[in-house]
Amino acid sequence: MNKPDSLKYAHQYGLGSGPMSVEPCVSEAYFEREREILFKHAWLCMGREDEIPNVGDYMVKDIDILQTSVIIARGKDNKIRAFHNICPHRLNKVMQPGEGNTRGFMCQFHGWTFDLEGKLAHCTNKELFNDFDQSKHGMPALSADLWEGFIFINHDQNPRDDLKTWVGDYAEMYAGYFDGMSLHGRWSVTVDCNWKNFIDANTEAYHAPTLHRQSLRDSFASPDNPNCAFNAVELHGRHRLGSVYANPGYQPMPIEGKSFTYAATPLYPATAETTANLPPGVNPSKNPAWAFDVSVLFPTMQLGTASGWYLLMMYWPIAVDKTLFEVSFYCYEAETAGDLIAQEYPAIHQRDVIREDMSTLEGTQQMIASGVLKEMVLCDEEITVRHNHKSVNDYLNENS
Amino acid sequence: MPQLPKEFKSLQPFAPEWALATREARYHKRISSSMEEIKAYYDAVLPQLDAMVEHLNRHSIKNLAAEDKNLLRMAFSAIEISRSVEVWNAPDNVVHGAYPAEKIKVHTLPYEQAL
Repeated sequence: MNKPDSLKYAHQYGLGSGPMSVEPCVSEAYFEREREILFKHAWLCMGREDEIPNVGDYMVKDIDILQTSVIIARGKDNKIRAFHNICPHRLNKVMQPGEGNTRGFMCQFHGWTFDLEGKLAHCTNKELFNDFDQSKHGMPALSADLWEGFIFINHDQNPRDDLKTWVGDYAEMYAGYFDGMSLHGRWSVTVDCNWKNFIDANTEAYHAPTLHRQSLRDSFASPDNPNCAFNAVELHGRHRLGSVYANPGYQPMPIEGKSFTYAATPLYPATAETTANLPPGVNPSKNPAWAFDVSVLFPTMQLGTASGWYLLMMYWPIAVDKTLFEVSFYCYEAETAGDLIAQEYPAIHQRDVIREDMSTLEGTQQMIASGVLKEMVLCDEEITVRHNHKSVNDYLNENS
Repeated sequence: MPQLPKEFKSLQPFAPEWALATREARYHKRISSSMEEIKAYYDAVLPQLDAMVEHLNRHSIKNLAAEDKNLLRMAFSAIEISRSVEVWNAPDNVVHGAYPAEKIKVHTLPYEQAL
């Protein structure tokens, strides 16, 4: 085996190889800049369009980093809209977080009711108000748009970039990949760490042979690739993906191995056949020795794309040192019980492996906050970490 | 008590504990069980798993009989506990200090109620 090239990605992408400041992970002032300059103008993924498939379907979510609560609803015209969850009368919060189907949204305080477009449909005893123009008192809108079936919102009613521009190269890279897969699992947790550290832990593979040495055994490393080097790294503007190697010689354990055989189309391991038809952004090297990709659509939407299933991982900053993390598992509609049982394996396995990734987060945050050391040292394979921090920093600098 | 198809009567004693309807319930069952309980179920279910899948594949998953639904849930529980036996030798992956299991919220989704 050849000596690895410690400057491969540094040369390919020109992002350098020096240490990086960790101040942006503990600075309250930096976090407020992220909130005001980045998040209040960023396109943020809220889930899949097919989670609200029918007219009147809605979801309500409190979003700390935007300092608001948002209703997303499908209107009578089938269009998906987003508005602030606020009654313009006395500014009460109209709906509690959750989802459902409705004809409109009624404020429980005085009965003002809003239609699926956020317009004020009913004002209780309107004649009690002086000079009242009902059309001026709807729930304020956020921008909303769709990409590949994902719902995005933007706090900015006149975004700097439209969603297509924001998505950039990603627009074509995943064409059709998500079609036909539906929500088949979800878990969430709030962790005391900075959101960027959280993404870092889930988007480099250098840690796998150490941190996951028990859970992943030799499935992600082999004599050919002892460091679990990525099959490929692609940087697309502020977005990034790393394609994670799988050991083709891996011998599964009894129930794990059985689960692979129960699906009509095996979910694992990948084969030349199962990878051939994937779009360019999924397993970009088309190497069958492939587990999945870690892909981040800037700033906080992570996709874990595999053959026959994917993860949607969303990071919701709450404070500089606190982040809500939501993981959703999507797969094809099962035709047989065997399919369902095969799908259960990755749905559960990923959860418990990501919990290992999360095991370092609070300790890292604690020790960054100690202030003892001001910089982190990154190897070439950790280009995804470097690109994460650099993309945020560049965005803040370019837009302030 | 959840009943299993009669062909799987050897698993019937495990059904009250492991024929659980949601992934959330199965997760909590695993992390609150002793390794002895988990190993006993693993040893019972492993030799039956192929036959369970074969049996279930003869029916449409859209309208499984109650006892077949229970059998499917038993198979899901087998997946849930497999790594306890095959990898960790403990109910949970505590060796590397995985993030505390009880802090994770596993959501119950509409599709599970449809199964």
